[in-house]
Order: sequence, then structure tokens, then C-alpha cells
Amino acid sequence: MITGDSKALQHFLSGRIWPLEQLPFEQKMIEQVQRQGYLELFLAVEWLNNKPQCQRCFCPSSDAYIRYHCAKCDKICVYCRHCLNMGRLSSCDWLVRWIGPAVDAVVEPRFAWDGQFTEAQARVSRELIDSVKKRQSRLIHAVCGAGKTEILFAAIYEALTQNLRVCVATPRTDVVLELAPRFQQVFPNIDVQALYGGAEQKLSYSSFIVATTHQLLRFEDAFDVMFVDEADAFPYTFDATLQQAVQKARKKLGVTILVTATPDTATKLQYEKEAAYSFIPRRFHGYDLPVPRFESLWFYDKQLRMGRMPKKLARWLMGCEERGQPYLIFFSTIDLMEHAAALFSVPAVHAEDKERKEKVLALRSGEVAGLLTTTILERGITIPRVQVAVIGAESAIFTASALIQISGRVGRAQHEPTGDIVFFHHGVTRDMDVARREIKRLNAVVM
Amino acid sequence: MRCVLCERDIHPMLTWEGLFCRRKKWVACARCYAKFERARADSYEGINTLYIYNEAMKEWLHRFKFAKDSVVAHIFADELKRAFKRYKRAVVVPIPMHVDKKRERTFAHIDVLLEAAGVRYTHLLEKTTSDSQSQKSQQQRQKSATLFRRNAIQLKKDTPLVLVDDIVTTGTTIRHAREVLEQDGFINIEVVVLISARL
Repeated sequence: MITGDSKALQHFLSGRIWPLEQLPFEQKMIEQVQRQGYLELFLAVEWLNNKPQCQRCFCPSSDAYIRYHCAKCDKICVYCRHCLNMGRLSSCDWLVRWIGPAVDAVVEPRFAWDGQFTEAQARVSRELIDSVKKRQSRLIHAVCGAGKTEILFAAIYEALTQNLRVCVATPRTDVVLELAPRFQQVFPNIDVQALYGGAEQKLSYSSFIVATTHQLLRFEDAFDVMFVDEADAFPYTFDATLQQAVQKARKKLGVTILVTATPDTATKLQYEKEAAYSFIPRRFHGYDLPVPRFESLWFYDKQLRMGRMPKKLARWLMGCEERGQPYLIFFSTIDLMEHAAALFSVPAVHAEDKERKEKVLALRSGEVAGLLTTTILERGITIPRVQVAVIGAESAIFTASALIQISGRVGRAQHEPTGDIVFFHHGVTRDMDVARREIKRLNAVVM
Repeated sequence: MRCVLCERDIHPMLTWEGLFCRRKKWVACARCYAKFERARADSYEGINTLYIYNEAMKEWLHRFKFAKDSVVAHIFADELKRAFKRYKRAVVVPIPMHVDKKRERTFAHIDVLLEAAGVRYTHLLEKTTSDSQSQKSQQQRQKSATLFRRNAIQLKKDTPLVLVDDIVTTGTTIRHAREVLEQDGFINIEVVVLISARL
């Protein structure tokens, strides 16, 4: 029987791998539990074929490993830079995993949600519950504004009643902050833990975790059901270690469910072949997705940098302001946005902006007429009645999926399901065409 | 090549130096360098400082000393190397760390900075206390007993010395170190400090 100190460690460490020196427990306590044989220690950086490999992030790039003369060991040690901001791991550090008995906390989850599903949502929700029961991985392809989060509720409830451990992972902190309270409302007697860089450390065990994909590096064999939201977003697709982290955090026999609005063709085909592909082509309010218009804005770059407002853009802005509609203007680079900012009377946001949240809230509440932004706001935000312009839609950063996501910001509300989405460009690219064609195709699908 | 601070790609300019010399591996991009603020050239109380403490420097220092990312020392290598050109014949003396503290951090940060810049150094001092100056108030700092003691290495007393530290706030550390060396009979002591955080 597990009691006292070991129980505290068991609850914290179950499914986790944690640096020995950073354990949030007293030394005495750790040593005692170690003597009971419940902890396994392993080196944080292992050598494989004469190459170092970090046992937390498994970063394959040799550039990430730094050799240095370690004063603790008085020899050359190696540390990993890739996961440095979770606390440095060096070849002389130890990681700990729990090998004692599993947590046997049985919680009867309460389910506090009585929203209405559309037909498509109900179908996909049923398919999902089935997936959880059969332990089959699945891809959910739902257009922007289809009500993806709600679809997960019933499947999560099913998993929690089966006493499975559930994780919803998403690449961005903003999304974790938005999702966690919503899940907490739906499952009032489950302790929903939100994990992201800078979150408060909780020591208790939770069977339902909402985390950024980065935080999953700290887990191992932990979850029975793993939902990966926005599975096509930066940095998830960009950083192979994050995809590996998701694999590692899931139990061997667990289920992965990918949720996205813009799956790439290869993934889509793979899941279709396994009959594990769910598709919602309609928004929850049943209206078409707004189709982007292309407007040429020749040499916009030069004009903006010279401090001149292009006429077409000025006319578009006037239109929005006259109708009293909030607007979002996407730029390809922070640099261009900062040059252009002086021409606009509205604030600009980018990834390193500390007041990002406040500025978005100001737009939502109508305090400011619009917002200039980089691709950071391309997904996950809902602003009623918003109109969107992309400046320089031909830039490489605006891939087809990014453009689809950006177009998906428009017309998300039930009472105002339409809106204007313009791609201002200096030449049309393939990605712009692909994005528009895909949106038209989705609108034409009849199910 | 990538910036060690922001991970952005760097496209180095094609130069003869770049073609014939070994490429430096750990550099920052121009955007990151621009965030650091240079100190004025003239010294203050005999202390030469290279940079002024600002938000970017605070982040760098945190990354270097507390996150223990020791490679970021390399981004100031060129600047430090240039600063030490003036003291050709001098012996460079880093402010030492207490042994326990050094073991805890796994490296002595001043030594690492100098090694990155390719500056040879000799330890002439030993730290006697393990408590850090940054935890103390101004009064406490000024009252504190001697922080250093001379070690066994002997040099001619007329050898010019250059004391090196990473950051100067009240100047107490430097004053203590200088006093210990002066008591031992050294007459020519200069000071180079990377960052000035004078109030």
C-alpha cells in the first residue's frame, strides 16, 4: 500500500520524467522513496554511436549538444540546448521515472454540457467515441469554425469514465489558456491541469491534462488517449522532436487523435485508408466559408516602406471603418509591419509582444478599430464581424494552409456568417490558388 | 548558421576573412547585437566597462549564469578580445568563484568568457565566502569583510594586472579584489568589466 511521502511522489511522477535535482520535494523524502525501489534513475544525456542524445527531447541535431568542461565532474560533459528552457540537462545529470505501482484513484466524472450538435458534429462525435472504445487512432478534419472543441467533449467523457488518462495537446500557449477553463466547466469534478511554459507547478495527479506540445517532452508512457489539436501548426510540424514527444508521452497501446482544419495530403490519405478519417465540411452555423478575393497591390513593399499608403488598401480600410467592422491585417514579416505601423492608427502585435493578449482583447471589445499582426493570430482566435486583409499574400510564409486558416477567421458567428477576406498581392502564387480552390471545394461538398 | 540567442538564420557576408579563416560557430545575429547597449569608452573610477545593463543584457546574463547555457559567452568574444589588446603585457586576473558555487553552476563564468575570447588568464585570488553580492543590500555590501585572499602563485610585483568581472553594480567586489592585490604589493592594476549596472 502506498502512503504518505511515496504517495505524493507517485502522484507527481506518474507518467513523467523529471530531473532529479529539480524534483519539487525534499531530499530526505526522495531518498526514502528511492530505498523502497519505486524510482528509476537514468542518465539525462546518453551516448549512442558516439553521439550524445538527450533523453528528454531526443534532439537529433548534433549542433544542439555543447561540450564543456564541467566543474562538478572535472571532466568534459555535454549539455543539450534544445530543451534548455525546461532546465538544463547535462550528461552528468539524472532523470527520474516512477516504476512503483500505478495511481488507483477512481473518479466518477461528471459531465456538464448540454449543447446542441449539428448532424455532422454528432456523426463525428460518435465516430470518436467509437475510436476511444476500439483504441483506434483517428484524424478529424473539420473546417475553421466547425466547432472542433465541442466534438471532443463526449469522447473525453467516455475515456474518463473508463478511467483512462487523457491529454489534449496544442502547439500554442494561447490555445491552452483558452481551452483549459472550457474543459474545466464541462468536467467540474475533474482536476483539469493546464501545462505550458511558465505555468504554476501543481504536484497533484490529474487524469486530464491540457498542455502545449513542448510540455509533453516531460512525459513518458503517460496517456491512454492523446488529442493533438491544430496538428498542422507551427512549431509542431516544423520540429520533429515535438512529434516524437507526442509518441513518447502516449502509452504504447494508446490512441492518438489528430484534429485539424488543414491536414496535408499524405496524412489524410493514410487515415482514409485505415477508415479512420472523419470529416466536417460545414461550419456549425451551416453557412459557406468566406471565399478570399485576390486584389493586386503592386510594389506594396516599396510603398509601405516609403511611408505611402496604397490606395486600394486605404479604400478597404475606409470601408471597414464606415461600417464599424473590426479588421485584422496580416503581414508577412515583423519588419514590414513595423515600417507600415506609422501609416495606421491601430496597434500591431507579434510573437514577442508581451501585451498580445491585451491588444486582442481590446479589438474584441471594440476599443480599437483593428489590429496589425503577423501569422501569430492565424488560428485559434474568434472575433465577431471581423474583416481580414492579407498584405503580401504571395510571401512564402503564407502557405496554403496558413491562408485557409486566415480566411477561417471571418464569419464565425451565427448572426454574421459572412465577411470580407482579401489577399493583397504582388503576383498570385500557387499556394494562394490552392487555398482558394480548397475553400471552394469544401463549400461544394454535400454530405 | 543560426543565431545562438534567437535561433534565426544568419546569412554571413562573403569576405576574405570568412573564406580563409575558420568559421566562428557561435555568433548572434545583427538584430540581437543591436539590442545591447555599448558603454562609453572612458573609464569610471578606473573601471573599463564594455556594455550597459539593459533588458537584453539582463536576458543574456540570466541565460548564461542561471540557465547555464555556457556557449552564449561566445557572442562577446570579439569585443572582449579587442578590449584586451590594450593590455599586451599584463596578466589577466579573473574574479574567482567560490569552489562550492562553481561546482553548483558547473562552470566559472568569467573563465568561460575569457576562454571564448581566447584571452589567457591566471587566477591570483581565491574567494573566501560563498554568498553572492547580488543578494545583499548596498549597506551590507560595503560593510562585508574581505571577500578574497591571495593564492600561492607568485609574480614580480611590477607586473601589470587586469582584473576581470562580468558585472559591476556598486563596485564592492572590485574594490575588495584590488585591495587584496595592492596589499600584496602590486602597483599597476587595471579593471575590465563586461557590463556596467551602475545606479
